[in-house]
Amino acid sequence: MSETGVYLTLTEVTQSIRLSADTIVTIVDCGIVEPRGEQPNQWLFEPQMVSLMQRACRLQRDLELDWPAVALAMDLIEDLQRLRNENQRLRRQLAALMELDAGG
Amino acid sequence: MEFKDYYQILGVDVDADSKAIKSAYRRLARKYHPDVSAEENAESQFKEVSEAYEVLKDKDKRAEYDMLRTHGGTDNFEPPPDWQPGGFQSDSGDFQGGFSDFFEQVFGQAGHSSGQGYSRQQFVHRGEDIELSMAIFLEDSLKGESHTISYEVPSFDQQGRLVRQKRTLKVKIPGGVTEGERIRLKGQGAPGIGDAPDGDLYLQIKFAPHPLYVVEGTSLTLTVPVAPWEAVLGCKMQVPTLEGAVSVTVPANSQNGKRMRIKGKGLGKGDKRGDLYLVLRIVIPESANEKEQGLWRQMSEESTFDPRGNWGKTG
Repeated sequence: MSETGVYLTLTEVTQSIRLSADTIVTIVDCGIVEPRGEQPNQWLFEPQMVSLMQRACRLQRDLELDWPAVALAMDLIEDLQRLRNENQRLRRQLAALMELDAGG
Repeated sequence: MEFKDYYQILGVDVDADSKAIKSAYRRLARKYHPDVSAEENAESQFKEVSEAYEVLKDKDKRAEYDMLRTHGGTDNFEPPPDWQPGGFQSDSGDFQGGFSDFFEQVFGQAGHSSGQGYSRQQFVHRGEDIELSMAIFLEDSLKGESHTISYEVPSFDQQGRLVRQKRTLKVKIPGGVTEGERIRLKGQGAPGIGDAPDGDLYLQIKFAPHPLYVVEGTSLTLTVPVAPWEAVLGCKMQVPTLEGAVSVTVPANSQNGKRMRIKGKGLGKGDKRGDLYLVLRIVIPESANEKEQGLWRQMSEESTFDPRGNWGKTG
């Protein structure tokens, strides 16, 4: 019943998230997602890319950004997420290694 | 119904010009946008802000709103009996829940029987995809367990009104999933309108925090408390893994923080299976009896070890 690793074509993506093919081409041109395949009609998107494109569109619309700024914001959000996760992991690891002096 | 003070939400004066409204919106949108913000309630805050902006940026809607506002914006707001909702369709609908009841009362909603909305027959589009995050236990991630999930799908009733339908689904999570992985359930999203296909459901996997293991991708880290003599002399011990205990040998003269790898006992599956890392933490007993104290004292007298030898000699 579940599907992982299924690729979507450009047409399927436009149907799935109601974005125009032009917008998707712009998103790909900005390097926000990198589908497999050379030409738009050969493009294959991973399901993760679909949600990244949705996020890109939300940012573009809600924050009234141009696409290069969206691409920058997406990169920064990804970095931020990675750093937050790493920070959380290191904190947990540190807490396990050190007994912080609760008495102060 | 609660009257929404859109000027207050954006933090602008009642006579603010469109430029001030725009910049107030942009500032708050950056602060609360759910894709960016780490603030609590970011999503509901953002919804309020964008709803306020939706109205105040538009000359006509703002005029309508101002009129209602001067007619007494109270907590028990009811639109005047002859009020005609504007048959307005939101373009910001992909945050779940859409705009407030107040907004819909005043400006109407696509599909409402205001005479200006869309009817089911005229309107055909694919159902929306729904994203849910799903917490699972590390132990369950390896095996591929079945989980029952409940969620709401937006759909339209006979009158074309937007309603939320509760749906319960049994989902088999494939074995070896990792944090952040998305599972697509085709056709389990919002129903399509007209003859259009249903949307999909995406489940994003999140791990419930585990009392023992710290997760990084497919790697697990376990902190292992050891006694000073175990670290010095080396020892054999049993350590817990997600699939039962395994025996490991701690080599002699292991330092605090030493990392040891147990191959293939992390997360994931097949050739993508990660490893389990053990990090030694030397712990000393809370108290020592007389005999133990004597032994430590003997050790301190016999040993030539200088733990601060590399500090260099000062005055």
